[in-house]
Amino acid sequence: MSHLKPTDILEEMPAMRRYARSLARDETVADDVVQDALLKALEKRDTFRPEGSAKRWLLAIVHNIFVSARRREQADARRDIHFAQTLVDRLEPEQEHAAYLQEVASAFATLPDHHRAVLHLVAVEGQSYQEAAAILNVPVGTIMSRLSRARAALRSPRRAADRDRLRIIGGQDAD
Amino acid sequence: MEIEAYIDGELDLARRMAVEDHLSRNPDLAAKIMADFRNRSALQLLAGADVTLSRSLAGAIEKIRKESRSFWHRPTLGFVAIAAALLTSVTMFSRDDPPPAYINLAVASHRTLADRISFNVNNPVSERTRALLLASRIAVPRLPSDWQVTDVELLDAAAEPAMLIAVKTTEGHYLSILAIRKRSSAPRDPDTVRNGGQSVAYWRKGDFSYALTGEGDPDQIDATADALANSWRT
Repeated sequence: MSHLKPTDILEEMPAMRRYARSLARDETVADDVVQDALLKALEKRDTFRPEGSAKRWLLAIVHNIFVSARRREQADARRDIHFAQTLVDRLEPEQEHAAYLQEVASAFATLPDHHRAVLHLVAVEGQSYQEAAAILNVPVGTIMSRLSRARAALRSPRRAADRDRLRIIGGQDAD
Repeated sequence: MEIEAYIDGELDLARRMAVEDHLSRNPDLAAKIMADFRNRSALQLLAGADVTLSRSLAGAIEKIRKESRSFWHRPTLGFVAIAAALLTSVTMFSRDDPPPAYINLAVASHRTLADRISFNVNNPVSERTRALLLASRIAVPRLPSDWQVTDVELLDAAAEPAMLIAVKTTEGHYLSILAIRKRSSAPRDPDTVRNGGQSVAYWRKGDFSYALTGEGDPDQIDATADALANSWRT
């Protein structure tokens, strides 16, 4: 008898999609990951422990599905700079601070995967260090040091964006 | 590291204050922290925008919805399903009457308060508290002397005069008490329901209705509410 109802799973879907997008940096790949995660969650929901958080459990499933090699390859085949652009494109055009948001989006897109994952879980989803550590299956100390580096990179977003532009010129082509 | 933990709300009140004390003397560092907060807001803004569902994902959602509809009709579950339905639906301890509508206000106010509590150091409010209580002429239960009142607010959102009192109990739990001038359908002895992550006990005394909201389990909130409701009957 599962303590997780199918509707509980759907309730957390927005968070699953946000996280998958940050991981995959591509909306199509992200939705594929979420699709697999939803079905996996449905199938495995008897293993969910009632004392745990449904969101944490589901985000961990998203993460595990993403890190399977095939997904990672697919995601890497697309451009992170393209991801930054899609983040910004979705905002209202009259959004204030558009230039600044663009910088943050670029810096976030170019973070190493494991830094981006931690920053998303803690800063966007509001997971505690303990929860993030459980989702990523790493010690809490690792969460803290990754966060610290990710934040440092975002503090000077302009520089990160420049670095990215240089990298593009360096010859990685889009898709 | 303490600074990171500060930004992410991982510190207890005393350590938060130590960090804030340090920041208040170091404007450069404080500005850096604000920039980190700003970046967090930016990430939330960027992540929050709606994205249309891909077709494959819509299919998966439909499948889950179907599962959810059949969930209640699964013949093999029988009695267990009924028991689970009772447990997971709103009511845990109430009678047959539905809970009065004002408990939604109680829960919403409590959540707003809880957000603020995790963000701010609370100020002692004793003088202001007394003034507000007197001015409102809303009858408030007698609180245990070792509870700390962390905030008192008149709620102007409500149709009737209402007051929200935030307290920290002896055990360090944050509870909120909503007192509203209203003859509601709430019973004389508190009933308790579960609403999302919170438990709400509600009761009425004369022209006033009350709700006690907290993160604790319904049993515990119910017992606390019993004590509060009885604190008057002397």
